[in-house]
Amino acid sequence: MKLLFYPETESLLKEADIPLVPGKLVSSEKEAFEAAEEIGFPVVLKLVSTAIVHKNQIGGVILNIINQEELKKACKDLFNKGKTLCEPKEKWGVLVQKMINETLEVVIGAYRDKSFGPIIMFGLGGIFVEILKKVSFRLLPLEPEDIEEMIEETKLDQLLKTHVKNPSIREGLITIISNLSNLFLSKPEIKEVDFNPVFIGKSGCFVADAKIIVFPG
Amino acid sequence: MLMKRKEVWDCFFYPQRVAIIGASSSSKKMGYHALKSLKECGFKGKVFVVNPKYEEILGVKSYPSLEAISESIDLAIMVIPSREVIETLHQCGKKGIKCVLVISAGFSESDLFEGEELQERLKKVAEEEGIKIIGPNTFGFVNLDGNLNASFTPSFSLLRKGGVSLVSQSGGICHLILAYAIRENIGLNKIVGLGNRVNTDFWDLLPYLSFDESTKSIALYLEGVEEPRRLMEAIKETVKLKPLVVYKTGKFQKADEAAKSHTGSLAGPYRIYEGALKQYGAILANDPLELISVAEALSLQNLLEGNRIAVITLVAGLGMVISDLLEEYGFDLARFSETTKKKLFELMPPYTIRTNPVDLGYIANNKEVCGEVIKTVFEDQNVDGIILSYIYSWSEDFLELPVEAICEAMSKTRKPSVMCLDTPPGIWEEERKRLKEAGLPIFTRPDLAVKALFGLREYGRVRKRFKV
Repeated sequence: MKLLFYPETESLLKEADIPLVPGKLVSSEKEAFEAAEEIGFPVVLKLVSTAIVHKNQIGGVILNIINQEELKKACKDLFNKGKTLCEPKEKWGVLVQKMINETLEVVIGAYRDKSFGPIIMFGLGGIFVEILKKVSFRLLPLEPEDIEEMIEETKLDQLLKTHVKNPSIREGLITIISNLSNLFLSKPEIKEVDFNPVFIGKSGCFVADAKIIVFPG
Repeated sequence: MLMKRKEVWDCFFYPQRVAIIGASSSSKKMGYHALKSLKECGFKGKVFVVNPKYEEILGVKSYPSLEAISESIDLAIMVIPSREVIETLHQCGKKGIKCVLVISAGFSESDLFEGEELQERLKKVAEEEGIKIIGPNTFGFVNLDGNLNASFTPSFSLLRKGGVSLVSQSGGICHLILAYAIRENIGLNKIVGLGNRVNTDFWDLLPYLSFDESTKSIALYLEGVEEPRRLMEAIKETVKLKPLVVYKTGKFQKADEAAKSHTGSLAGPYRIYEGALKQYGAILANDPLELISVAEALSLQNLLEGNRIAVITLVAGLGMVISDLLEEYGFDLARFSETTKKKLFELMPPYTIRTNPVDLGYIANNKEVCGEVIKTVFEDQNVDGIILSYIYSWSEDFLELPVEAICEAMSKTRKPSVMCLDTPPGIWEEERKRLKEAGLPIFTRPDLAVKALFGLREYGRVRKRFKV
């Protein structure tokens, strides 16, 4: 199992036309500040590495950084963590991303099941996912009706109607699901993809965090 | 030489000569009941018994071996110890038998040391001899259309012949459905217990059933299969021709584990099955009775093409229960046309609900007026489907079922309709029978009636989706 590093993930998603929350990978506090100025505060800092699958569990994500002072503190924390947690041969860095405040979060994933083959998963994200368990699975490839049915099954339709009235946002979500399915089918070397969370808001749909695992070799 | 697929299954379900190997005269043995099933099912073909220990069993001459039978055999049924099955299969091959039902247990499902290996050998020998096997480790199969009960349960022959064919990974579930279907007068066609699926799996039977004229709808009880994509592809082809309902177990971990020891199958993650089944056009049921009820509605009724349902009820309470359930399944209560409204106001007194749900309470003792109300509602253009609900009350002198009016309304409009009705034993049996014969599915529980309508609507969606 091999986790792709951020730049590779970013370029794969770009190639597949899947929108990612704007961000920049940095290797020093100075670079982090420049990136934050360019993106605009508030920002999020994430410790990204080929060695760390679950960033949240090790405190590798710091949200809502509003100024230089907070950024400095966060950088110190994450660069220290990186040095301790990642072996020298592992690639790692700190990702500065735009902070997005959206109420609707979904998860989208794809993996290869040993008996079903390629599968896509879609569900409500954020704090509701564990309790509501509104997750829907389909076998790949997908027909347009499958995506519609997944959205309907997870009750996201009702949320979209009340929270995001713009129909083009819904289209954006459908495009992400459909493009992920094409990406996954066209690249058999990818074992698993996990977009969590994907933000749905007035400005569109964006993948905030993407994990891509490839087969070794 | 291998027979063509359709011929093999015709040979299983419509054989001329059946041999039962291991029939017994002891009522404590499966071999006794298997023979009893065959003798009492009205089977028109010839039955042969093979058991060297007897001269005759249940009045049927017993042969010492298959070889000793001079006529050819279409179907052999084995009810013998598992260790004797392989040798007997070779004898079947020698005799030119292509269809074998192995009821015997003691294969991969068992804790027997050699169980797994026996199954592997069975598979290999079957392939060498070009033999199709149903089983092993199954109660058998039944074809009510051909008066054939090839199972160890004679009471399968008590079922009414109808349009639902059931393929099951569990014999127990077939028996549960058996009792329910007899009581509810549900009509079945072919019932197959797949057992350990040595070389007959869901995807072998589905193409046959989808072209089988007497099968109108298909019900599957599914635990899990080794090649789920193959199952899904077979389902997709089937639903282009016939409606198919599935009940899949293993929703939670425990049931998943039980399935492994049960028929030696691999129950898969429920969530993926659920999504895939829907994606490939199956209609999902949530329990065994729902499975057979929805399948029955699909075997009798037309597809529901709209979403507007009329509820006609003898009591307001049940009308409310049904309205709630309809909403839960995403149906709309139909808004009657002006003509209907006017007519209902003329027919019914102002003490009762004359909109939808229509409450027949105050006119209950007048069968003719109730009948007129029913016909009026069926004919309304704003109504796509109808749920009728009667209850048993008072005495039969007071309350009669408007059977003729219901039958007339159904045949005239051909709108999908179901009935919710529960009665004590012996009450309204003739009426129920006549309604059933006219094609009205009757359910004791309101949720099953609504779920049946849901199935009729779902199949419409499936057909539209696969453009058929």
